[in-house]
Amino acid sequence: MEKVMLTGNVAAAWGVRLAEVDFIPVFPVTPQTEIVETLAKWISDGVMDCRFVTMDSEHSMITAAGTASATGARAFTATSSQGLLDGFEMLYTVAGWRVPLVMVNVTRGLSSPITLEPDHNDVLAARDSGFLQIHCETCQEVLDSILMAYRLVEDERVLLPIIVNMDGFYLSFTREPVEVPDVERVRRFLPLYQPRHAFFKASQPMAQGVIVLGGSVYSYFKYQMHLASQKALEVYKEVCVEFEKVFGRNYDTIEGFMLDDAEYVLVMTNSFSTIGKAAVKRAREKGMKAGLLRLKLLRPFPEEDIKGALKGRRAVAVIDQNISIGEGGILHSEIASCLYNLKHRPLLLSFIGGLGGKNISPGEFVFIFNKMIKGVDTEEVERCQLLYTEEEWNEMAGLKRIAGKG
Amino acid sequence: MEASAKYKITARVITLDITKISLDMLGSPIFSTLAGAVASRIVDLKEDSLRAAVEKELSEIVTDRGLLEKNVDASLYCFNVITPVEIKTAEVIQKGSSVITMPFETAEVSSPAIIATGNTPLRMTGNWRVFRPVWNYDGCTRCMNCVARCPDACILINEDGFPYTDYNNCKGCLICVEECPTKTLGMVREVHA
Repeated sequence: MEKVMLTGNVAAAWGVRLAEVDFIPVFPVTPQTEIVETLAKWISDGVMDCRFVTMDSEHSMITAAGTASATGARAFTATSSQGLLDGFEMLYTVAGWRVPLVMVNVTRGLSSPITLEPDHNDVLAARDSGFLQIHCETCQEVLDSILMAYRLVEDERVLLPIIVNMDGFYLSFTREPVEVPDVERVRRFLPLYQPRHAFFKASQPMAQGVIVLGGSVYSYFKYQMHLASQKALEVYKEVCVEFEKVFGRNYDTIEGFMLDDAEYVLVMTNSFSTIGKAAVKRAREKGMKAGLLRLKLLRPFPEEDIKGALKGRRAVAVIDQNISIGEGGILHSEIASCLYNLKHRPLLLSFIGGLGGKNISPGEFVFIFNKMIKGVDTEEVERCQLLYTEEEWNEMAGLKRIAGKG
Repeated sequence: MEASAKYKITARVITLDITKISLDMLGSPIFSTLAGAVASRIVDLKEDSLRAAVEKELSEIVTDRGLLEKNVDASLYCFNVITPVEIKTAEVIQKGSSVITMPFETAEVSSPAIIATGNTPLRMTGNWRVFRPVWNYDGCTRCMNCVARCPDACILINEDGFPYTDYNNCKGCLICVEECPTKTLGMVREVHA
């Protein structure tokens, strides 16, 4: 099949168009707006049969999307960063309604200071909400993940909303070759959404999202969400097998790069995994048995797959493109928790890089690999390292001078 | 030569005045397709691929078929007129790691705030110009229309009462040229690196 050069945003729009979505409420925010602009044009041109509504804020937008889903419509929306946080309470509410909404997040570092470039603090803030999370490295993966997302969350064993995540600028505005399947093929993979638990019919009135009092009653509902999310691991594997049958592309919860005999493993997510892979190749050329583990499904957290991939390694360095101020890397903590009881667990190091889209240079990867080797030799690990170069520090000094500081 | 000196380039410099080509062939200095054409040639794309790409991309935003054709013609012209030079590939030198441990600084320094005043003048937008307004005091009546109309307050008054441009910040919108009632304000192409 022919490939076309598409930006991540347009690839996402194609995923939504091929999923034959019924309802799209929107609110613009950099760097996702091109997704909904593209959808708007197609709907206006009459090539996409869908109801499109502009809302006054992301809070309203997420409410509208979740509500539409609760009536039995296949709904979609997209946001980023400040927008995601603007609608934050609704993430928990919509997830609690048990509706299969698919939402794309295009990452962008959170204010303050204000920026436009990506990091993962926005999407990871939502990790407790009940939304599942799929993280993409390429534009092809974005399109594919949207199709897989609907199939996954509309399954009656799941029925939780999901975020399909891609990096702003590096994916959203960068063209990569993408195979756009035809809708007939997609229909073989993605059946119509036919809910039995949440719909809007005059002949069958119901109350949804009710109030509960009593801890054990509330706990029941939250535990069931957690159990459904964990069930989604098994459903996701089935969906991946089906997807490969229909489209020929293979995905899993994680992706291993040069992992087979790797002794030193980097753990990364999203588009910066590509530069991590390049660093692994360079390290291999120098004779180091390096490898990279890319996490793709983050919620539910694929604990067994991660344990399987990391056990027995000499050292693992988690490169978090996020930071929990006052603690450190978010994914590092989750992986540490996952590996804690392993008999042969690797040395675990933590690095912060790529905040606000900051580049991780070849020199910084060399620094990381050297720290891993040193850790293995000394059996000691330093605390979370904040990656920053001398050149960057000098540039910052210049900016501080202009600002009248120091 | 100006480019080499200004930006301290040691390699060989090839230039192409795509602004002029754009003005000549499209009638306005909008040269995204021309820049794309030059890039296509450098990375050894085929002429047919370039033509197809320009047609596909522009047909989504340009409804005037004639303008689309002009863009295709101008792109292909640039594609064919540029002669890229073969460069010898060199050995890749790995720079060592220069990672530092960031020192703590109190919020007086580390908050995202600007204390120094008046640093907007440091941002000079004069290099946005395609044309620069030029003065002819023989015909100028000192009516001050241009001073009033300049959207960026870039026209100042000299000691003889004649207006003159702050070329550091003039963006070349040419409103002054258009508004001059005696038509003595002229314009010339900027041709600097």
